[in-house]
Amino acid sequence: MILVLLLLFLALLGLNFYFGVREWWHPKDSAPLPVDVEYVRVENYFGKSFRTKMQEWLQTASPVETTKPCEPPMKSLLEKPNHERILILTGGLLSGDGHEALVYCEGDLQLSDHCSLHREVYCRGNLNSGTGVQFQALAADGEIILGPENDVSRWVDAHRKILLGRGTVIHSRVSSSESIELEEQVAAQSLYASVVFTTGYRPCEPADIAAQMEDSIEETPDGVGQHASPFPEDCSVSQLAADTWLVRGDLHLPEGKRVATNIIVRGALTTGPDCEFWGDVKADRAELGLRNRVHGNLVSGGGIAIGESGWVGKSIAAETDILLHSGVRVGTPAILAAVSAGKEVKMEADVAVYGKVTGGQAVKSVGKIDADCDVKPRAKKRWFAVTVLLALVICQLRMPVFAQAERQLPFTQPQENSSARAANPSDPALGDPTGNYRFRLEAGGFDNAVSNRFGQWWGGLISLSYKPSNRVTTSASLISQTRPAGTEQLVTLDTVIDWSKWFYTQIGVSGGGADDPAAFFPRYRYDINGFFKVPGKPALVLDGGYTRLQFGAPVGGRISRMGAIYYWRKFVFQGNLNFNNVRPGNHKSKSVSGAVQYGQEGHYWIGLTMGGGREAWQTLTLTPQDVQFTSYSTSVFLRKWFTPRHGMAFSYNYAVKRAAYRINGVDVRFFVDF
Amino acid sequence: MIFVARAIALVVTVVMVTYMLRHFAFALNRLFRHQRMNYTDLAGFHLPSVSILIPMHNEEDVAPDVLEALLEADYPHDPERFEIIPINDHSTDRTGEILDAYALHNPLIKPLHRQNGERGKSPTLREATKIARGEVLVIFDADYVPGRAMLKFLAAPFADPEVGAVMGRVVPHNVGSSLLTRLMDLERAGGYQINQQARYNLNLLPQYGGTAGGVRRVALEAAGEWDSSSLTEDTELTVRLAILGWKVAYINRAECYEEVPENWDVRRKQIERWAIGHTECFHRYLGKMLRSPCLSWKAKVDGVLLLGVYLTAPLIVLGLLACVVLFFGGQTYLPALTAFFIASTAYNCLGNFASFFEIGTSVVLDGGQQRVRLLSLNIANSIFSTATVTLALAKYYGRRFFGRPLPPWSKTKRFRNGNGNGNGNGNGSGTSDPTSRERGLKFILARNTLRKSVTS
Repeated sequence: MILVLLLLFLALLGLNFYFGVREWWHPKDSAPLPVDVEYVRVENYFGKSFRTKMQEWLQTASPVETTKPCEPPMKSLLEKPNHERILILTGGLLSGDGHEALVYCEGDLQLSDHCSLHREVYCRGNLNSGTGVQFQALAADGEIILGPENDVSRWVDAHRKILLGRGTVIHSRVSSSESIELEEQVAAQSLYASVVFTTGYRPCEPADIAAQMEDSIEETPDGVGQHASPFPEDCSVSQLAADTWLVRGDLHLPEGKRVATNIIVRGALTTGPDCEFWGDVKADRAELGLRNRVHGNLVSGGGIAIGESGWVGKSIAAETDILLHSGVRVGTPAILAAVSAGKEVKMEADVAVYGKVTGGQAVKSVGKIDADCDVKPRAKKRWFAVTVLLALVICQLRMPVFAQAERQLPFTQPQENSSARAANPSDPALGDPTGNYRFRLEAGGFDNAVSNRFGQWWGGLISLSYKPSNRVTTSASLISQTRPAGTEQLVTLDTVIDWSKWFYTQIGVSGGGADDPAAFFPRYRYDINGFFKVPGKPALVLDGGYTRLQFGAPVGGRISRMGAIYYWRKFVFQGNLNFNNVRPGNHKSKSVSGAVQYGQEGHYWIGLTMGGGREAWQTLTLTPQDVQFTSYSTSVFLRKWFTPRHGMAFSYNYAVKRAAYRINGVDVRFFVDF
Repeated sequence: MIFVARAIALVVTVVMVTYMLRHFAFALNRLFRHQRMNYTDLAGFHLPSVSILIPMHNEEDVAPDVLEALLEADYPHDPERFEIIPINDHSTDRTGEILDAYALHNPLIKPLHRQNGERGKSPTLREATKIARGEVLVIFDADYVPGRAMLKFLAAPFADPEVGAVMGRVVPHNVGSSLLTRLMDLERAGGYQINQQARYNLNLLPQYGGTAGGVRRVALEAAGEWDSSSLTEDTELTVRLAILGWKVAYINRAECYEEVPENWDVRRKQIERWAIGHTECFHRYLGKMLRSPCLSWKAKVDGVLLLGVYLTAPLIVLGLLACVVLFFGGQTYLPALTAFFIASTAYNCLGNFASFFEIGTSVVLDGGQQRVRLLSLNIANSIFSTATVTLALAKYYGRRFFGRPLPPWSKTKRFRNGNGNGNGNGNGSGTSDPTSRERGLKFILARNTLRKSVTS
């Protein structure tokens, strides 16, 4: 025994050092890491680099012979040595869906509604697009005017002005040598131009507040000296340096207060109207009132909100969100500034930033920021109350109720839940080739321990999802489950279609169960669900649906359901009421289900489902239908992306079928997007 | 005897488990948690005035590279906002001539020649600080070669008035020179990509490293200038700033090449200096740090672990001795020992000790493919460091006991431009890969052509 252990030890030890010694003696990776990566420091790097590459490609690509003569605006078709094609246009109107070639336009280019371009576009003139146009990336030597609801998967760069139409989403950088204008509901990751502004701002208005502020910089602050504390006596204040005050705790400055030095507030800073700061300002959270003026930088470890008609002369940075209310100006036309948020930057109408705006999650132009979108930290009590409320009100039957939180997010494509699907209810992203990837492959296994001698129910799943366009997502999956009585498979096909901004459907068909009333899986099953966004309340989605199941004759069932989904920040809440009918016997029952999940597609999801009632159907990896048992169940899950493309999902499921059995199950999956 | 051994084993276990958890927490934070805003988006907007201070003692082989790199920086070359102050500190080679030649051609370079007074980095910096005009003082060692955008990234966090110092990332350029340089490359990656960034993410105490970093002048004045009695003025300044309430920011994108020791003797001297300097700071500032009202309890715990990190080496040695005593004292037996070895080796295959896990994680984050395979060989570096630090601290405590002063500050020897003869006396030996080394120095060599025209 000792000898075996010793040999094992030596083998492991040798293995441990083998690869290291090989790399040492035969180095394959001994170059220094690159530093000073250009795309980090050059704002319009992608547009610049693409223009250069396109010029090279035009030199090396060869013409492709086409069966039909080229019709305007098409001039010719070129093929690169790597077989990628470049469509050369003279200018004019381009329409149609699914252009797979790179596009090079020599003049002005117009794109018709719902046109779809899967590769980059380079326009030497102006570019103007209609509604719902989809781009990969976009460079123009003239102006770019994007119509409503456009979607650009990567970057946009223009030498002249850019106008982003209402509802347009840019998933990466936007840069212009002149200006960028955002209509309402526009989202982008970062914007860089001499001036970035929202609708309502007039660049040439004579009374431009920024110009006024620039003029006033040289004025001497009155009243508040650099040597005496300018703060209320009840504050805990100390002087960190000759020009810097440190305040411990929250600080409120009344109307008209002027502060001549740098100020650091280890707490929340709130101010009344017309306050003025001559130095840099730092606070854990900052809410500035109307017409506040900050001549220095404004920094926060949390969020920042700047009241109407405020002005910040230098840069703004916040760990979480930044809200710029109407009339706010940042920087001056002569000296640019940056606005940088760890999460979101929200800009109301008539906001102008001279320079750069960037958000870790998004920069959004909004109509009017409502009261609950403030920068206050989330109250733990609120979360606790929501959880308790859910636990009390909602109970469910492990129904796969999760909706896609990313539906509300600007950087992922609309998706819908896998309601009534035969998969893991904890799975928020099944059938969801998200983000910029068209495919998702997912594989995993599950194991359920069932009491009362029902034994182990275990099996595996493989699923492939495909997104042919931004409107359609389709997926196919195969589930195999083994019980002590045998093994069965289920095949599922599912499609989600976005019909409009306000309405989408999910249709699923599955089958494979034996023609036996005791089969695990139904012989066939179909699901139809519709989802409506409530006008004026886009965070609220109402849903309704119908499911038909047929097991081996004569067992079958019907389910009608209605419910709602609500999105709040990173949370998604969903509740459903199910009306069940099982045949033979025409047994009727009701059950409810609820779920809450938190996270963001591409990063992580964590969630909880709870439910109870008399169920007509169950997650098929667990039990077949029955409305005789009062049941309750819960499930927790975690889906985590380890890289932008790869991740794993884990869930723990618990269900009690009163007087029948109890189930403890785990489910583990690996997924990859490509 | 057995009781003492048991007590030592217990203490060592607790301390090492604490550090293990810390390393794992940092690596996992870096992998999976939200990364804090690092101000890089502010780079290039409203830049403060900076003075670059470069202490140099006999640096004729490396001085032109750092000056060329700084002149190529995309920081505005406005004399009101940008100045380079190379400090010729008692050099006996051509360093002074080279600096004067550069100054002749470029008014941004303002050399300071020191031929009198105390020698060493801290006195040099203290004198240069007096003539520097910038709001921010950026320090480089002479063998460092900053990237073009580094100064902008380093200056950006000073938009936050709470930031007293900023640290950039250091990347070895002579990676392929020897096994030691390759192991040092891994260690640096773990130290910066994981350790520094995670400490910054978690609002702990990222360390200002004394080079490739900047200090706000008013913060330095508030903290009391450079301390010439310290062997690690960087650690010392970090702690003093933190005690007063200033923050240290770490910017992973502010990248700079450095030259790491190519032979073990030079490495030994470097570690000795760090170990003694760090431990001296531990004794000087532990109490003040724990009492500081400006530090959170998390930062205080991290500060203790940071300052005490070199004390783990003698603890490990004591722990091993305790194990021997316990073994021969009949406290354990062979199957248990065998099981321990097997378990530890199997664990080794999966990721080894926590610090190795941290290093492996950093290599993955940096996109390294093959170099991560060297991870198991890092045990050599680990054993070498443990032995060196233990001996250094034995000397240090011996000096303290007998009331002798600390050893003088000593410069780390250079290896650039030919086998370590740049007053470095290193032999540059090892299984170096000339091709990869050339690749790493490509830009430096390119600059050499430029410098010839200046120095000739």
